[in-house]
Amino acid sequence: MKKQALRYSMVLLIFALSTNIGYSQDGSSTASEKEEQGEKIRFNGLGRTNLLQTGIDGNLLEGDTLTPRSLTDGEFLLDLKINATPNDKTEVQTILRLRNEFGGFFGSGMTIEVRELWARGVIANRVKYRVGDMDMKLSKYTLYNYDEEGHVNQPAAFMPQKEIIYYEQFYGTDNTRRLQGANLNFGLQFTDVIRDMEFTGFIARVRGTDFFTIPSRFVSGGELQFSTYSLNDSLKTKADFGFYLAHTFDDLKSGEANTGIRNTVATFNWDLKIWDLKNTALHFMGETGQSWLVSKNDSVDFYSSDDSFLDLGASLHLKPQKVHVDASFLDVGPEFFSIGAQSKRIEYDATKKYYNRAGEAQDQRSPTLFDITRDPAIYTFQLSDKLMPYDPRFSNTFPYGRATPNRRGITVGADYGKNTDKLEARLDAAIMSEIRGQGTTELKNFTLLKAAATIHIDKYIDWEKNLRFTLGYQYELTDRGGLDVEKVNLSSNLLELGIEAEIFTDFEVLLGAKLLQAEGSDYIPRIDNFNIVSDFPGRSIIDDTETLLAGGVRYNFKEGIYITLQYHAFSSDNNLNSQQSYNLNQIFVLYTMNF
Amino acid sequence: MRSILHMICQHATLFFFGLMLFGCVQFKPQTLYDGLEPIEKPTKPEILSIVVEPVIFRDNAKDMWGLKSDSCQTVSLTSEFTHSGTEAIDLEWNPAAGGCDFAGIGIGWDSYVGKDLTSIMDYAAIQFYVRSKSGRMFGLPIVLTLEDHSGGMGFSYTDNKYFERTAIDEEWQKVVVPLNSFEMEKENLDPSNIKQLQLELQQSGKIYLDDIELVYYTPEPIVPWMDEEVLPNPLSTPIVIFDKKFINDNYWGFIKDDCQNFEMKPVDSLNEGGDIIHAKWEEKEGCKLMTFGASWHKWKPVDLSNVLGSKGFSFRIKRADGSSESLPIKVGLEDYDRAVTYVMLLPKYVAEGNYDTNWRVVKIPLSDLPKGFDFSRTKQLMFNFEEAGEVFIDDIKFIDLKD
Repeated sequence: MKKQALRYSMVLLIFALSTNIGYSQDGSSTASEKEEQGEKIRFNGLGRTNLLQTGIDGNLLEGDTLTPRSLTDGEFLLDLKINATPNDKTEVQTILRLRNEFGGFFGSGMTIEVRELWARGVIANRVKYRVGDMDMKLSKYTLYNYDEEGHVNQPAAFMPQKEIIYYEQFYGTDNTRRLQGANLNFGLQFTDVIRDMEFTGFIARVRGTDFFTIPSRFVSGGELQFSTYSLNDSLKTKADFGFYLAHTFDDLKSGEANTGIRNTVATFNWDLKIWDLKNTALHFMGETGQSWLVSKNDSVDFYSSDDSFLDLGASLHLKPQKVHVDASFLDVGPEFFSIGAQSKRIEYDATKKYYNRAGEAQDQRSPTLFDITRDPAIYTFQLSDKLMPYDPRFSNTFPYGRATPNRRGITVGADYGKNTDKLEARLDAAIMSEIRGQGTTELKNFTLLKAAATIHIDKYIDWEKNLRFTLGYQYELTDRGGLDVEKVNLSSNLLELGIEAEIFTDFEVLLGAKLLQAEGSDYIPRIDNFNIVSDFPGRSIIDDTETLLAGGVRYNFKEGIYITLQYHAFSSDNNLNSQQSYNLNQIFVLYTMNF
Repeated sequence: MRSILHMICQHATLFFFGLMLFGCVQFKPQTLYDGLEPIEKPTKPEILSIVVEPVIFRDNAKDMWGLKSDSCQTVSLTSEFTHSGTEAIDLEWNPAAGGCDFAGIGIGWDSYVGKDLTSIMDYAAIQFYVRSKSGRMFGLPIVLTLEDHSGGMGFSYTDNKYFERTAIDEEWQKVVVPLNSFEMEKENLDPSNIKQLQLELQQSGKIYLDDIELVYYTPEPIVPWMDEEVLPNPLSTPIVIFDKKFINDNYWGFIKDDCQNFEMKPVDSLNEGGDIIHAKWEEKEGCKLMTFGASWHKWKPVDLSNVLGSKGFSFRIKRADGSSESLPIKVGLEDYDRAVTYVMLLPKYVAEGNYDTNWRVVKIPLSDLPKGFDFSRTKQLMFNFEEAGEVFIDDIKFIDLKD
């Protein structure tokens, strides 16, 4: 049966490759492709070959006879995207994945699966719909896929493996979440004061039932956004405002399951453009709302909590100076819970693909910079019904982005330039504190500083090829006073350096370095259902240094098609117990082709 | 909180449906693809008749409706006055007199088949010949309407710019209305399925019409009606704004009335040679604006926003009599939104610290002018006079403060 499927797929593949192949698409066909006369079915996709060897050594491995010192792995993969527009009102698309693991042959290690399937269209030129797979985003407090921690300004050397992770986990460029369901969108135009209104509604199933104890889980919601006409023509004053709603619920009629949750988040947002003149523009923006969490046993609510948040900010754009400045006051209640916004990308307790356990005792390794940079297995796009674990070394101030509960304080930021300028820079700072103490009445204080800069050296020296230097830095301090047992003091520094140098046309040398240093102690709560702190499993004393170095070359055949050969060396130094220190390294060849 | 949210939702719903009911809202058109779609411009067909039957009316009333005589219009074919061939259309109309909603004719040329004009919209025009029955008409109140088989319509008014001559007279003349002048969005005309051409007759008129057809059309190249003058850099200091006369003679405000006497006068009487500005004023009730102004860039906007810290204005001034630490004169700028920014003539602007009957050099840095003014669109330098006084002003310059 499998061989037959393979045979059909190969026929399909040959047919696809013999057809006029266009450029890659992002979720759907680009507008220009629609205009291609006489072409109703298009074949695009992605091909990837990834061969890598990973090694481990160091003090941790002393006496360890189980852990192989070297692993070779790889895959050959073809995602064939079939896109059809039966008419100018309808579009359907599927992605068939053919994958063969390195070493597999004659069907062994071969998988064929449907990676994506959707259809969309326009009803009466007024209402857009989509069914199947879809990428959705609402606001940062309702449905939002925050970037993962562990990087500030990612050096280009680490991007090829990151791109694999993002692609595999459906992380869009716009912090969208991949869902499976249906959505609807339409707009209205008004004649006075309000210019237009956009409505989007959706429902998606994010978990199936096992017909016994686990009910089907759905997430639904939408947004209603209004935009006014210019309220003052000389100042270009304008107001945008609207509502967001995200509602996650378990279907207690599915199977025998009778226990489930309801999580609702409703918010109101606004963006008031006070003026937009030639030299400056001033905005007041913000969002406020409420979350409710109810756990039901049949029709009985046996747990409920609710809380609110307020995000109040202003931004100033100094146009001639190419500078944006923004500042916000943030207050997110301790009980604020939003499944759609607080679910993290990284599952810290997930099983890693490489060296999940190591050492004589075969303890599970904590995710490191090395794993975060390259291992798709610790990433997820699924929604979590409780606050997921986090590592305070990487992020303690905002482990769940701006939707992190139990935070109050101010954030400020500034950025300069665009990617066409010689210099792009971004500076962020936050001074936050807890609203409610955890295990004590004392509150933790958080200080966060982030800086990122990309220097286009080629533009300074007027070199026609690409020469870029990237810098990223993050400093974080967590402290809490009180009795000795209550005291917390944890600081961390993350430094990133990267160089891209195009030494010949389309041939680049990539160098990158990441350094994480964390020192101090903190209590990391164990979160139980309904986000209740079940336990503090003792003070975590941290004195770690992680170093990740990368070097390699990349040849760009054309945009979206490249091959890269790289070597990465990683060391994890535990300064409290040198026996826990270890090194990892990898050498890999990655060929990626978007077609 | 829950009740507040409930209330907001209720009111929002009421508001939304209220707007719907009162008809001030409509759905936004949606397309399958977001953003702008680059639509390739069709190439010009080599032979028009391959794309569409070009003859709409020539000699007979085939596929034509509206040939009737009633209180609104009298339309018939005539062989007496033709531009070519055997017959032309004789039109007389005055719908207002008959109290009717519509007067006009329609021609479903080529037997009303669906005609695809898509590929010629940018290359073709509807051409016809017209003449008045008697006298001259300084307009042709006809709306050409293309209608498709779905009821969609596109409109173009037979504007004078499409005439061969300025007016419709008793000589035949050609009128050419480009297809791309038709407004197609409003009534969703589908140019790929055209049913007929309608001529909606507005106001009143008496004309003959003949030889209506589609022809190739190439718009005349647009010739600028005046050459843009290349002006010198308005920031290239020093610029003399006044010395004997104003630069380019671009000034205003030199008037003489009961309140003010602003004049440029030879100063031989003062034994100093050349013209200077003499200003004598006294603020009274009912006075006109006691201000004069001048542009040093021929009334075009000057962007001063990047030179606020380095440039300014200087001039020489002296009182007719007496001495004072400051003068009731405001000097400043006006922008193209009519916003003004001024500073009063204070002691700090003259080296000697006071104003008297000797010539004093005044220097005003741009940075001293209050903000809240669009320096990127500066229109002119202005002097505004308050209270009463008499001064002489000379050598007004836009300068670099380092000079």
